[in-house]
Amino acid sequence: MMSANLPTAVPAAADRDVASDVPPGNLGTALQRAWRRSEFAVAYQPQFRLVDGVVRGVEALLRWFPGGAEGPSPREFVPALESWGLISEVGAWVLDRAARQWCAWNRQAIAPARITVNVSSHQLLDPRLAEAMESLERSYAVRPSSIEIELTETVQLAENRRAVAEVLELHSRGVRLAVDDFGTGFSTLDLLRWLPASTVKIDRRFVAPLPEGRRELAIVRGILSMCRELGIEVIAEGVETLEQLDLLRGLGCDAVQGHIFARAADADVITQLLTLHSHRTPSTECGP
Amino acid sequence: MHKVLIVDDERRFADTLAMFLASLSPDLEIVVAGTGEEGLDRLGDHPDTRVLLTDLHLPGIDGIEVAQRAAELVPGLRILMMSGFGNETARRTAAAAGVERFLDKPLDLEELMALILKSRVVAARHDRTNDEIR
Repeated sequence: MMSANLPTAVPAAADRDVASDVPPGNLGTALQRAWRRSEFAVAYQPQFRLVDGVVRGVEALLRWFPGGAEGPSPREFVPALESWGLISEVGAWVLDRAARQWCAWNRQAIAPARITVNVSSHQLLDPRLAEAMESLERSYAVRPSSIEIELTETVQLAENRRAVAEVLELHSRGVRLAVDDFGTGFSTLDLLRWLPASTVKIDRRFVAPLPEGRRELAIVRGILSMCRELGIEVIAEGVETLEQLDLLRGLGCDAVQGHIFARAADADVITQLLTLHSHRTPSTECGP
Repeated sequence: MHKVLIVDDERRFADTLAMFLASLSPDLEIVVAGTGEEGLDRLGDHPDTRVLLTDLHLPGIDGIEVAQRAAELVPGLRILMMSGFGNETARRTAAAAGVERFLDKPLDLEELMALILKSRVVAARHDRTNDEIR
């Protein structure tokens, strides 16, 4: 049955990654069918260090191509995957694909220091996540320190002790923690008190209005100042213009992700980019 | 390496632009100068520079004079000029000074990248021809 938790608001066009042709009422069924038919794919988007332009990591992003065509944005269908109980299975598959890809890049000596994967609080409650992490080390010789998990829906995370314990366990194994969409949840500030996060990602809503948006500028400046004090790396998401890039560099932001450098693309495209960068990108955390 | 010289007195902007270009195309070598005089010195140090990207308004000698002297210093140099205040007169003067394209600030990054990548292709073709002649 369709869950009441499914999103009712369709994101504004500017917020959407791709156009949607799937009627919302059929989303859950369509997703189940999509999973059976292998209609999901993983795209990759590099993140660039602002001090020297080196690729600091690559984020693995779930994409859906219903019938081979571009499908809805993950913002639309990921909540439905959660509601329909598919997120753990699909999330483990994304993790596996990402690790396998990182391993392939590592064999070519072009691997970035880390691969980042989105993990929702639903996944953290599923024992298959821990199993998947263990199998990555066995199968692909990916060190935990080369994996960064981006935590979304941090409000639910903070309220769930089992999920918190799971996050801390992953961290104790060496997995890096990043707080995604920072600034958009009510509890994200509190989260930084106790979560051993190494990275914070500033949500695109704060970046898009820059450099003109004075309120957003004040917020971004505040986040950067706070994270500097806490020793946390900051990545700005959704950077699209040279003026935003210049401003963020000037403010001391550590890294950026956005269309200005590279859109999310399939592995072949990102492989070309990493190959070009390989002579200036030392892979310091390669597996054995 | 395909060398590009950026001359802009807004040093942070020039460094950001250099970082951006080098990240998108790591086979570019980007040299940055903050004044026209410094830019010409850099050209003297790097006579194999392929592209000059200079701001119009600079302290000391302006971008037009930089373009004129750079063209004499490095034959075949492709010269691009950028400005946030480029009127028609400035564009005509720049064109007469050998500027291939006048770019308005804020820069259209896709246009800039296309121009630089095109210059790289032309330079490679030029180098091949020279090799064949030799």
